[in-house]
Amino acid sequence: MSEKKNIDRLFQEKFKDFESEPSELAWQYIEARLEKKRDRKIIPLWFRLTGAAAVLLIGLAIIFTVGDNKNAGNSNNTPVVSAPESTGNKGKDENGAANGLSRGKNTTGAAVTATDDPGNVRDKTKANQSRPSAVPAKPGSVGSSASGLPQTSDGVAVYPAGKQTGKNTGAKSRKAGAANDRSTHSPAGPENESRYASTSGNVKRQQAKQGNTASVKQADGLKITHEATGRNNINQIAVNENNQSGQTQQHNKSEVNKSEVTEKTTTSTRAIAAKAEDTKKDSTALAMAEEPNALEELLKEKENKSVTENEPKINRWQITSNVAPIYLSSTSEGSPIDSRFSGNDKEYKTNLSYGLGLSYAVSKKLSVRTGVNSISLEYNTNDVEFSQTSNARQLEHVNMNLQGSMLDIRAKGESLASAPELGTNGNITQKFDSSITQKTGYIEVPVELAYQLLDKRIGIEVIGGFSTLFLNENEVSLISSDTEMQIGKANNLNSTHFSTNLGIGFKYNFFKSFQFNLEPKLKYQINTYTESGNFNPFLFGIYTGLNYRF
Amino acid sequence: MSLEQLIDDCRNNDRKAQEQLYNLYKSKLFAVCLKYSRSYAEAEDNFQDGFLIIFSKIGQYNFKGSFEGWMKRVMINNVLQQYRNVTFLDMNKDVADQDVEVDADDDAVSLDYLMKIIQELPDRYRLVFNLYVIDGYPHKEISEMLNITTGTSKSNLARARMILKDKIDNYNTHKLPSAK
Repeated sequence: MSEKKNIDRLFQEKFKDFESEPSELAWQYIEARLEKKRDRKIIPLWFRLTGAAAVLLIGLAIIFTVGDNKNAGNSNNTPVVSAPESTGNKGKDENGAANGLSRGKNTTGAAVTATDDPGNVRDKTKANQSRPSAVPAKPGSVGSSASGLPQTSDGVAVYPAGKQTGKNTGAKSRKAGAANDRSTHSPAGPENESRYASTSGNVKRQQAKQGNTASVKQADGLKITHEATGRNNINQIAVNENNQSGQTQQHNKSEVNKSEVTEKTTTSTRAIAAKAEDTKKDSTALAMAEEPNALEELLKEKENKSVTENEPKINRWQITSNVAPIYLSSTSEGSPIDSRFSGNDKEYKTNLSYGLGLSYAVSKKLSVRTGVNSISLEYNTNDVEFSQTSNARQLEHVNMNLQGSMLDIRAKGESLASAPELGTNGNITQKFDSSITQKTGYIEVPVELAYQLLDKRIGIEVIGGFSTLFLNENEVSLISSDTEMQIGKANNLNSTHFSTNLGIGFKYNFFKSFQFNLEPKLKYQINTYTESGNFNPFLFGIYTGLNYRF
Repeated sequence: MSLEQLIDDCRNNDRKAQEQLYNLYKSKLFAVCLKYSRSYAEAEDNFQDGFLIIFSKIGQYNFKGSFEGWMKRVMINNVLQQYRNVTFLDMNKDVADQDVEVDADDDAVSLDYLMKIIQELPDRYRLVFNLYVIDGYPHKEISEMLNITTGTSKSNLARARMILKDKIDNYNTHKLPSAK
């Protein structure tokens, strides 16, 4: 007895739950092919690292060449180079080795920069060894190891910076280094001011729900490191331009520094890349329930799951090197040199700022950024005349040096404080037309937020934030038709002051991870002077730079 | 560990996760390959290649729709790729969609036999038959996947049915021992 059945139905029924076991060899074949593919992936990772290193190098090269040219002729300063620092992590082979390496270099750096002025010797930061990672590094593999990964509080194992940032835990906080006062004017030293370069804006990754404490250490007010759990520090290397008698020394150091940088970058980015894990586990959260029949249940697909995190391929970090012409001006007339010059014409020079930046994309539209810039500012106060006299009236806000104290500087047309002095030959002492140049230089550490308005090949964003500026150059000079002489230093400049920044950024993406950006920004300076003489400076800079995303 | 977690792990080339995923789905997916391929051997090749593609494209799965369905689709597409370049003479168009019936004695018509005759079908017919009858794709989608017209798809289906019916009828008549 046979029943007639629609042929379609027949096949459908028979094949409904049809399953068939493949041979054992199948998996072996697949696994072998996967291994081969993985090995090939490591190479692209190195491309990324070199890309980041390239951007840094370009930035530093600019800093060094421009910086050297600029400061030839300054009074002698200790060339200061902050050597890179990476927190060691005993657990990891790679980092251990690299750490040893960079520490070694640290010594060199410190030794080289040991200066005449004992008070300025920099301590190496007392580096804490962060807790050894619980996961041993697989030799030769950057990828994550197997499921023995400790997991973060969300129960998500943290992965090498591959495609996935998907489940990466939340807030990454960043602290910009803030340093204290660091211009130590050695009282006796005349023009011998040590200028400190520094700060490192440090980036620290902070996992949400982790009880991470970042301890901020200051070594002599210079280097600041954040201890984090892993090796997730990136030190910004701020380099100071100065140089003096050690021009060659400087160059040598720049070599050292560059290779340090590369090493450092490689190390730190490798650290990030290999950052598998977090040593701290949040035990409560770790219990992503291991339900007994979880798999069975979950084989009934979860149709409604949507990815809450970003697409795996988003690149959150960006490293930037930038250069900007800076226009200095003031919102009001006044003079920070001496109130007598308030009415004088001020001529603002165009100055240059250059630096490095790091930014982190918190969300698709918002990113936080920091960095280190070196700014030098200069402006002239015109219509000034001077004459030599032993009875010179000092400028209000300037500490005159030996030369300067013999000059009586006046605004043109100002009535003389005293009767014109007769020189030795009985003639009225000669007056010279001149202008006063005030030069100030800062290391700026900005902290800004950028909000994307448009994000295609060309992007537009709004940027706002503030900066901390550390004084590192301070000079007042007198310029007349054929001479320029330094007459002292301003004494009303705060060694640390702030600015509020606002700007717009235009970006152009090229290649895959590179970006060219143009960011006009206005930075209104706050608290630049202890007594400002009604001079309220602001900077307008057009920052141009190159970004690398990773 | 949840499926989602497993998928995420696979995205990161976590070997253990990949193996686990493989073991979970291998039987179902190999079955798919068997249906669409010409032979057991070819099915194995398609299966392995298909899984590699699944692992490499797993980043593209965005958790919408069933994961198993997504994997199946990847597998099927891989097999279809094999036949993309194979030309096939299209003779009969516009064959009416008839209701084809066969004697279906469950004991006699074994799964093994059905599998065999499906694999024996000419490639295009086999693909269309599987896609339409067993996996439920509409003709429109089939025509896109195979790069043919819907008319061709329908006629291929009709022809496939005829051939299968013949074979089953023969089987019933001659009562051949189930061949494998």
